[in-house]
Amino acid sequence: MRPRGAGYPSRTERLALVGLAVFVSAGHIAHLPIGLSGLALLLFCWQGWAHWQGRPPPPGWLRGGATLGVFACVFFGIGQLTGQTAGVALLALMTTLKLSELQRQRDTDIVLLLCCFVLATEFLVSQSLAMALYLVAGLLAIVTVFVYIHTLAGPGRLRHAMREAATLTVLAVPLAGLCFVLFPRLPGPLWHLERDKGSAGVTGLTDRMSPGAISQLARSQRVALRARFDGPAPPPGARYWRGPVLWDYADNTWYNRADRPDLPAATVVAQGPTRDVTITLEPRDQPWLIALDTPLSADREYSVAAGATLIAEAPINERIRYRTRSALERRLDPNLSQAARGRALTLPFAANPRTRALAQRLADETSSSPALVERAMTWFAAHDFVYTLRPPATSTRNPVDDFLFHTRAGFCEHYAGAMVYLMRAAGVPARVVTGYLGAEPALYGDYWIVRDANAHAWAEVWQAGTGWVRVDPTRAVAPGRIGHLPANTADDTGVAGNARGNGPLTELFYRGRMAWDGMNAAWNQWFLAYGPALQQGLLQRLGLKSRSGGVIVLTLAAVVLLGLASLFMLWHMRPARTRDRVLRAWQGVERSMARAGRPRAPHEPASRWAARVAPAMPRNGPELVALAAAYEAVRYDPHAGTAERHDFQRRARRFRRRRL
Amino acid sequence: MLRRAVHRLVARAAASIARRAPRGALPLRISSRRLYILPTRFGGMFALLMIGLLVGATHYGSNLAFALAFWLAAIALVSMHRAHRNLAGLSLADIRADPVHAGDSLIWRLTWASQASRPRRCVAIALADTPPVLCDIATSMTISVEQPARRRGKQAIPRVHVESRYPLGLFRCWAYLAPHHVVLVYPAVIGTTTVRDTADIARESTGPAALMHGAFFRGHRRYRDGDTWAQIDWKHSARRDHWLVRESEPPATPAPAVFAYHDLGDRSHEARLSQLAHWVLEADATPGDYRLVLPDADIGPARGRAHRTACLDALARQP
Repeated sequence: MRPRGAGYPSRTERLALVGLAVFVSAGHIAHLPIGLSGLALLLFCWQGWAHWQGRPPPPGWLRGGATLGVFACVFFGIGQLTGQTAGVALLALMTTLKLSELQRQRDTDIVLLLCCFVLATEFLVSQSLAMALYLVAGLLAIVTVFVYIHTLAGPGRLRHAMREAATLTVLAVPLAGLCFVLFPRLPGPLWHLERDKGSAGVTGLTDRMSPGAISQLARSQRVALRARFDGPAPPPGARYWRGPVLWDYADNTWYNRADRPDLPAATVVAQGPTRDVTITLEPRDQPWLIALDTPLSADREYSVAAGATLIAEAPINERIRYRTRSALERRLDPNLSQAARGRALTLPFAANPRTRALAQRLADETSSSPALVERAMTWFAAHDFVYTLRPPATSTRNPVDDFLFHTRAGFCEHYAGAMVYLMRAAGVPARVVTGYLGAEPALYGDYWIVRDANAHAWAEVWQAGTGWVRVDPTRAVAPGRIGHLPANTADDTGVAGNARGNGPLTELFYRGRMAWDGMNAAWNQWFLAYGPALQQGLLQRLGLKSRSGGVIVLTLAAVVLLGLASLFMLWHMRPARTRDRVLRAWQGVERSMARAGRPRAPHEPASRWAARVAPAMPRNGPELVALAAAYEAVRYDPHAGTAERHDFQRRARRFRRRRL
Repeated sequence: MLRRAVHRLVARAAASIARRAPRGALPLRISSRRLYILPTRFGGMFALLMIGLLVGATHYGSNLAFALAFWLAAIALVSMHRAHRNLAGLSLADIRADPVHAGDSLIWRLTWASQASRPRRCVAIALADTPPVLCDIATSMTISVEQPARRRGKQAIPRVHVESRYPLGLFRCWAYLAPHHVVLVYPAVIGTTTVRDTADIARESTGPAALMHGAFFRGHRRYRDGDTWAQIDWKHSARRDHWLVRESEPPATPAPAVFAYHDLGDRSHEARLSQLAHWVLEADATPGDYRLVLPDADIGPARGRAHRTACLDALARQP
């Protein structure tokens, strides 16, 4: 039996499907390349208009042509037809095209399923808390249209569909939650993962440092990592987070030359108590496991670079959480290999003559390298250097000379680079370390936030006996920069300022941002991080040996939960109770008689029914006849008083207790 | 081999379902144990989609995609129970059908009663192979289902098929009811009319004589007070200065028409019954008594609705 016949889908049903498709594709339309988004919007408008006007579906050749056109647009817009972005774009566009042929039930079914699928693909792009709200809204919309399509036209149809959808969605929450926790999770990816490179905005620290790279990053308020310290937080001056270390210099850019042989891994020996830090790192498609300087170990697969940075096995493209152990007091590479020493002294020939001369002069004035470092820092402090996010341009031929003697304005990358240059020119091994400096305590939650704005670069100088020592020339120039938040993005003067400014609006903004970050941190920790590993741990804590145990518990619990849902719906469909107590009492009599096998026929008046069945019931017959008479008297006599009504109810109750 | 086994299994299940259908006198209630539920083809596609979503979520490690897949699956499961509750407890309170002649459409009027506080949504009701009728049933609802009445005689209501795909269309929930209700199908009205001209009637003294207009024309006379407008012969009056009234000769005790089964000796059984039914209806539309003579019954002479019904019933009940 096919319940839906001619005239289906109706105009409102088609429009509901178009609206749903627009709603679930909205996220994609926001991220796809602008041309494709425009195309999707255009197709949606066309479909909305066509169904609004009740146009017949376009002819086959037009639909076929449109399909080919969509493929062509995706190919030219994205450059390929495979891959995540292209697949998502094709899916969204094909869904809009499918809207043009809503002829039969099968078409509407397919569109509904496509909408579910399109909504799911939104979560490949982002899994933020805002997307979770989108999920709930999209789910409600989908279920509403499901119900809408499967009900009959009539007044209040949409309202009913919304209410029914909300009921179903809420009733499904416990079961869905249980499935989420207990359904066996397999570690992904299941096959080769062809994930698109993150869009241009999602870069963080890279393994190159050209002027402007870090100051560019420092304008962004995005979260780079969140850290939780075991025990007290380290003092502000020690909140350096170690990122990539850069050894080579050319064309005013610090980087690591690919053609140089790999240096041996750094050896780190802790000289004091160690610190355990749990870090949740935002994905930046780079392999570095950022850690508090200087990291000793981490609780996931890693290797140690020559610069003592921890490196993951592969670029990190999803949010990860790991525990690190770091030493604030340490001895780093007390014995420097010849290769490392050579690389840490290399400078390009014949540029920046004034800097070289300065280095020579400072080296002549001092006897040891610690003294040389001290002298250099004093030199920086003595000259009026300016710390700014927008430094003036320097010449390409002698950039360091220009910076040190003319412009004297720059961001940390300029100071670190100039310092390393100066040290190498003076014959002391030195290198650039990039990472983050500082952290902001979260207002809601026991963790610290490190943002892109905290991005920093400093120098490390090798000294015999102690190894690599951190030298941060920015400290000499802008002492406020150390231990405080960096300059606000809009702050043109660039000298360190506190993000937590004055005024109620700023305070409100600060609190709002902190609350949002707290929710996000909890979301990341409790929801997004849940995967195969955490599930295993949870099952063990619940005393379940394996995943199959989880499946058994899940099955049993699902049966119980569905039973409860079913009971709820039984209660939902309970017989309507009338407010009239007399009628209710009489209905009770009828019910007990029906149970005894003598139901009243729908057309029978009460007294006639009683007269009909009474002869067969010698014991209760007369009372039934009397009750029926009393009922008709009480119910239909407008002058019946309260006493009579109560009397009738009492008699009806007594009758129901009899054995019939 | 396997296919045959499956067919046999399905046939056995169908027979078992048919046997278990609530039957007998009204009202018939659809108890929850007599409700059957299976996923629709759409439900199957939905399940495939769920598997696809789970694989995709595992592959990309997307917990929100997992959440969506589990939530949708849970909603589908809850909707299964909802579909069941939508029909459980519905009862067929009354069946009415007016007798019809074979070849016409029999219209069954089924009255459904629901005690639930919420309406039962999108219920499809069909009899045997009739196209389903869709309706929402609040507390009471009468729906009409048409079924062709092909054969004369007693016709029992076929098995009633109640189905619903509410709320999401993923599950088909259905029940059968086998109420005991019989309606008579009269013979088809086929045959020659008995209209003859007056000369024929005058000549004939035997045979089924039917007086179609109840009287013969005798002549005109002058209008008198008390004559009805219908009696005036307007055409002839136009040429006089007074009205002329048609005067008829009342048949002196018009003999009751007799329709006898054995008079139609040269035709088949059903053709004779059809012819008799035709005459009965014709005679009923004109004044005058008529009598129906059947091999096992002799009804009348009489006239009126009860008589007509008695005659047609007797015709319908003929073996």
